[in-house]
Amino acid sequence: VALAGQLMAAQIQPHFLFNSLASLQHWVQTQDPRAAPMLEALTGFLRATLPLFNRPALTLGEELQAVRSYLQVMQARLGDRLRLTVQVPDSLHALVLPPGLMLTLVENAVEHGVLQSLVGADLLVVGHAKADGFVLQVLDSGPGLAADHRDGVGLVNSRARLAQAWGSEATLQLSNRSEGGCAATLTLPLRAMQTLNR
Amino acid sequence: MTRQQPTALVADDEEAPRQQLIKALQQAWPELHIVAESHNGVDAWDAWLEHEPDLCFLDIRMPGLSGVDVARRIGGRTPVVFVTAFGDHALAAFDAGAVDYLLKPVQAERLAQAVSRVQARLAPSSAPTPAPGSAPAEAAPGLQALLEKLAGQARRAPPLKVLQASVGREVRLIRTDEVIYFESDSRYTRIVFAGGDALIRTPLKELLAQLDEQIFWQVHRSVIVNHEHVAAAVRVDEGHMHLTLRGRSETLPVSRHFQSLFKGQ
Repeated sequence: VALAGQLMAAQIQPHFLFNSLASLQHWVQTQDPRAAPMLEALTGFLRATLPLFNRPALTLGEELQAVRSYLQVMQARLGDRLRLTVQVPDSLHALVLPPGLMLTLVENAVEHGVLQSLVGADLLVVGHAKADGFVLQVLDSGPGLAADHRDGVGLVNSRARLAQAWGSEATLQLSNRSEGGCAATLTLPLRAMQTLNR
Repeated sequence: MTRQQPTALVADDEEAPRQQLIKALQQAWPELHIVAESHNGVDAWDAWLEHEPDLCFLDIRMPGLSGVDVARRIGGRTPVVFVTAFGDHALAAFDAGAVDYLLKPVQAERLAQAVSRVQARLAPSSAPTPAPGSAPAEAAPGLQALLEKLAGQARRAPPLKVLQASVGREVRLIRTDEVIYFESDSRYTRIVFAGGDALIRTPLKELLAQLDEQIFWQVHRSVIVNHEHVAAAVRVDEGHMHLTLRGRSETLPVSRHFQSLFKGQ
């Protein structure tokens, strides 16, 4: 029952899960060497994601583990359609975030950016410190936001969690990049860098 | 017309699930000949026009055009089996309609069922298929309306407003509303507009997904026309039709799949 609750809370996308299993099934049947690493990445993703949502907050370092295993699975499935760069300095790993926030932004960039592009897309996860806080960005070179874009469930939840944690000191903005594609920009206040109370 | 071997198109943007389905199909229906494997919706639609397969297996989520978009264009002329990773809201509809659906990863037993449904549908004793060039009529009206609705829900970039074409040493900006027609020219697309013509590298099939389909009508595998410039559709003889354009001397071919666009009132 606890696990069922975790699965619900984690909002693991069924499309992601079953598409990954479809690839895995084919690779197992054909004894493709991609099967074992895929299974490992998928297991890693589930292990990293399930506990994520039971906690009010976690560090960026912990969140990035879930993000990395998600991206490993997608990289195996998509090959060179997904051109990935993750550049987040270690010094930012102690930032405190509402759980699942970065994962939601990365999932959105893959689903609506990379998967919707005929030629695949670049995906960048970057972060830096500035004088009055921190900036984390998820950038893609996909089709960009539609004119009538509205936030999906994942983003609505993310914004609510962010407001709960940092009020108006934190912001989350989605915009179209001048070079094409979408940018999700998260800004956090200086006090987001703190020791977690466990 | 009888074919020795039934033909199928299989479309999925991910390689492994596509290969998994093809492998399972070879077991379930050894006579079936896969004439096209498409990696996205625009390739699937182009391959349908090229090969006219007996049936299609379409993944729903694909870039360019979704499986639902492709099915809507096919308009019931070929049975479509949807393949999807997860139920979404669409499944209820497919339950009610004439098309079948499969969940990924595809299970052998369930695929066998789908195959026998399709075989029953393709058997000569079943309902007559529409004559070539006739209006797509096979899909139930409710299903067709639902496909329209689902197609509108997919997220995509707004229609193209400006095209960039290299003409000699300059890059010319051509507003899409100035375009009279687009024509495939081997690996290029020729744009004909009021002030002349130009070549761009984007293939016609990819352009199709980026144009406003209220204005730009595909009339042939290799021709898309701005319908406001069409003067008349002329039936040349049985099965052949061409378009004349306002104030221009050239004519454009209309292949039989698109002749139902011009049926008079």
